[in-house]
Amino acid sequence: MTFLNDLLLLGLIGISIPILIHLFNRRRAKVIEWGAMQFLLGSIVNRRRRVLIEELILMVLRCLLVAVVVLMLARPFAPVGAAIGWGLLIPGLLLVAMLAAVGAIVARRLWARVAVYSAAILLAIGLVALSSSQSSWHSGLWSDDAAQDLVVILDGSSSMNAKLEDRTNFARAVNEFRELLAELPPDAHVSLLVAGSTTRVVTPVPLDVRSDWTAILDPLTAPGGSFDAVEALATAATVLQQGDYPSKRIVLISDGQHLGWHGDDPRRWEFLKSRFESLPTKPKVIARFLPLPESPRNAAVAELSLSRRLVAVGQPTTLRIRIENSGSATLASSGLQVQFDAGDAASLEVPELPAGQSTQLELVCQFDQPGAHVVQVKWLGVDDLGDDDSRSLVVPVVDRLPVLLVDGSGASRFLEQATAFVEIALAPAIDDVDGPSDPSLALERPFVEVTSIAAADLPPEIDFDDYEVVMLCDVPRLGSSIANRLRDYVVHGGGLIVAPGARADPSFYSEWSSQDGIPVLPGKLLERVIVGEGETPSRPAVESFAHAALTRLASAGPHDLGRVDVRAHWRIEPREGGEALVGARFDLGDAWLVEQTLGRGKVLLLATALDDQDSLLPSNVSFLPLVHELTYSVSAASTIELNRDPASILTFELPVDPQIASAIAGDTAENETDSTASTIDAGDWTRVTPVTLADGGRANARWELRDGFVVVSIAGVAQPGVHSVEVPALFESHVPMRVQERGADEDSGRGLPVAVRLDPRESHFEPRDQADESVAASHVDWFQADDTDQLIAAIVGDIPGRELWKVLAVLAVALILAETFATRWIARRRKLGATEEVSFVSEGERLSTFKDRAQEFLQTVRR
Amino acid sequence: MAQPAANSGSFRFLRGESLGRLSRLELIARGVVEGVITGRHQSPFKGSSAEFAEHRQYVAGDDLRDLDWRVYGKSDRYYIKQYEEETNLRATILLDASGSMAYAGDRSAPLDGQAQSKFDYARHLAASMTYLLINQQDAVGLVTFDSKVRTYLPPRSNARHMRTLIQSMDDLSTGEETELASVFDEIAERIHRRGLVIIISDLFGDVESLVRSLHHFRHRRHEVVLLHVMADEELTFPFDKWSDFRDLELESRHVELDPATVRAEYLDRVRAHLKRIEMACGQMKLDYVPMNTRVPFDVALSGYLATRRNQQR
Repeated sequence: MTFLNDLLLLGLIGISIPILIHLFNRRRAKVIEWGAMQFLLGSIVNRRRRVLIEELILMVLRCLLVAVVVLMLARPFAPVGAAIGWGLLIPGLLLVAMLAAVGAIVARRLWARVAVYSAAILLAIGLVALSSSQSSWHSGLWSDDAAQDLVVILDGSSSMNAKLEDRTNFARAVNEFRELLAELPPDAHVSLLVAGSTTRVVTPVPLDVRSDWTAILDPLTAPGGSFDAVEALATAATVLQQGDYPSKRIVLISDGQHLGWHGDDPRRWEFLKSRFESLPTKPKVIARFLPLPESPRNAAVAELSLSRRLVAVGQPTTLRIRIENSGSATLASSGLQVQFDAGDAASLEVPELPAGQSTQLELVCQFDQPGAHVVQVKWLGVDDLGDDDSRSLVVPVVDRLPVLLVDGSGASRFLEQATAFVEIALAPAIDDVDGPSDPSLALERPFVEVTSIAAADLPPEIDFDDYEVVMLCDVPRLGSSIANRLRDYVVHGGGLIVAPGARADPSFYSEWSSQDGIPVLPGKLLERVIVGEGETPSRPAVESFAHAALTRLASAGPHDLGRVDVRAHWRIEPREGGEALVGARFDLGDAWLVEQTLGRGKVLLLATALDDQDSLLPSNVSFLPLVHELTYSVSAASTIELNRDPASILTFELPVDPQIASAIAGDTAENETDSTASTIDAGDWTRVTPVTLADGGRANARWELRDGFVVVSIAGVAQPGVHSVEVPALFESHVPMRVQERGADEDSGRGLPVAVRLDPRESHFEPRDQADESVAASHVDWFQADDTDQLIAAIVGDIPGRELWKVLAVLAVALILAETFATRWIARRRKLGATEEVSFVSEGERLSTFKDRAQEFLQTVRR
Repeated sequence: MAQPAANSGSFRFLRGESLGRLSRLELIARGVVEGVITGRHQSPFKGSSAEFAEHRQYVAGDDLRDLDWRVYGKSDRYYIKQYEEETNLRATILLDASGSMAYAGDRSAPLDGQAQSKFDYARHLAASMTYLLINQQDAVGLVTFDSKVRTYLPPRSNARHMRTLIQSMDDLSTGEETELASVFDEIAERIHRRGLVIIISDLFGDVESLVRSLHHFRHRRHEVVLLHVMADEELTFPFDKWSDFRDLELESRHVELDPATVRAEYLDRVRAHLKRIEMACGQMKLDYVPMNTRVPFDVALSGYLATRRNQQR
């Protein structure tokens, strides 16, 4: 807060006028030698307190009146965002007036008066100094720099597309920007950024106000996704770095949704602060928040998932769809469309949904072609925000899952082999399986291709890359060459399940480790625990199930895993340091299932063999789904995650097998015939392929060889939707290619589909919280404009705020009335001006009558 | 000597006198009494004696009230009752000389162009009464007091005594605090023979003990005339500027205030005080005479005397 005519504040000395008059009157007291003291003293005793209060009221009113009039003439001005608000200064100065008044009336002794007046004067000086320091602070903040670099960030997140009174906030933001342009000085340099999930620089070079902004703004749309304030401001800083002017400002027009402000993550703001400080001059941020819808109508497809990680051709799988009402009104029931690729569509009915509630719908589906299928779910009702009404899921479907079972039993009879029950479970003979009731869902052939081999028969040069999963069933130990190959296979993304039985050699498993010394197994085999005759066997504790395969199984319906009698198992000591996940335990606490990630692959260690020696597990109904789920869960085929959260750069890592390695080598050095994977150096090979974005735009994917992997980096695909990455020919058989619509053009939509999810929180119109506000204000030069006028004022150099003299004028009038009223009231109480006299004549006669009689008497005497 | 007061026509009778032998106070008193009060009329104060002596034959001019109608009824002759000692009235004037009586104020009737204090006013009243009574051959005594009795001159009726009394009044100045009740009690004890007691005072002090001591006079069967002297300012409290009221009785006592703030309360207190006194006097059948110093004392005194004479007629 400051004063426009601050010199007039000297008029505050005028507060002393009523006080001086009061004191002067006292000093000038007329001496009266008085006789009737007894009445006077008696009266004073009764009246003293009351008189004091009356005098105090009058004096306070008069001093306040002077102060208010002086403050009014000094034209107090409350700028927006002032560090010291008028709520402190004005009452503070009025307090000075009141202190002075109280001092004049109440403080009788000299020292008391000196103390009160000193306090009042010091307070006044302090407050005035504060206001003048404020004034210089404001003039520093709002210096009128016509020439400036200005970056305008428009929040282009999905929530900005919400309709509020038939207009979206994004349209409003564009409109405010237009209004700002109209007021900007002609030499200002303006850049425009639209920030959705990523921040797009709309104007590659800064433009001035005379540029053809209409052509830029008219087609502008909000790209959707989730806004990230820090990223947007950092991008703005980058843009500002190129600017010519020392004065730099960033205008941020957003709906102020909580999502993306990182109030709980000050480190990101620290980074932004250092980024700002690295600029020649620190930019000022002027934020303008448009109102979020107060009572929105909004349904969102909040979640889309499949019941299994790995989907095989023809295998029925459940699509789970969660529909959420994130608005404040009940939504009537409406339709839901599920579109598979570009062809078949299914319809579902979403029941009536009260505000804040969500519902889950399920649809059993199956895919008849291998490759990446795109499932799009679209809610068909009408609401305020359309961006979250649909959601897509990329489903990689495989036609076969090669699994290698290594039998350690050495038995020749099939059923005595340690792999027997697993083999039967994974690849049943077609005739043995009760197919689904729907004949179209019947399996034509086993999806899992099982190869079973005795441990002793493993060739030393075996290529594990031919398999997605390798399972060691009660294998005592492996030769070092094979062990190393198997380890490398896992590190490059393979899946390994180890089910040790009575034959297992714990020393081998303990020493089996990667080149970096990291144990291959997630736990150490300590000892065999064997339940004697008559003792109670161990059972898996259902409540301890933490592994995804087990929880999926347990939640799918009734199961008998809790009733498995385990007669012998290995006591496992899981690896420390949080590397290993104990997926399940026995009822006495020993780990049953431990998993860890090794390199890009997964290793799952069971405490029991999967034969009928250690337990009766194979005889349980749940055995078959358990084996399948465990196998899928470690499968290498599911290592590429095609459904991603938004990120500025999306990356995938593809394992390089010898076939690809040689192809790459050939690609890199056409003449070198003896190249192998091991001779390829990082950075030797890169490819850039185009990416077709969901909205039809283009981006690039970069394929490069790094540490034995091909790393695919895709920039600019952060907005929600399904984007297609063109795949170099030599990788086509290694990634799930998008499934073509029948009869469609061979080239259209071909590639690797990547679905970027919309953050479900975008559907919630939750405003920024205290932490969001304070973290922004404490890390950057921050001003929040309450309306367009303030925004414009802040940019063109005026100090936005309001004058307060009208308020004070009203206060002054009120004080005048109050003073008049109080004076009258007090006079009436004191009976001032009342003609009531004391009757002092004998026999109740009026004095005049008495006089008349006396005169009459005298007349008589004279006659 | 200053010129006689010109504001009252009654003082014209004093012109041409040998003024040197008389004090100013006596002159005024004499002027007032001779010019205004007595004249050809009888004094309103009468002596009486209860001691019957003998009868004598009526002669023309005797007061018919003294006829003994019982003797006339028995003997068919007119006899006049003769009393053993046809004494005159014995009056004692109690003059308040306390500090509060020194209050003058701007509104009091001026004397010689100067505002007169309540004490001056009271002295003039006292002197006039003395003159009046002694001229009637009545005996007049004087008691002056503040917190205690300062002078006590027993009643006598000769002219020389009158001179002494008036001289005594003239020499008097105001003194300390008023303590009416104890002083009145003391005086009531001292005056043995019943007579007229004239109290001239502002009657400040505790009103209840004052009333009690007045009873004391009545108990002694004295006739009491209460000349209550107050200044107009004391009755109206007309001050409006911040003032320092200094007590006339106790030098150290003073109070600074805005008079307006206490005026109503002050007047209420004065009113209550006066009402109590007036009521007590009514009950005791005392002659209560309020005297505002704004009214010239001769006017006030003659007014009172006229009233009293009318009552006696």
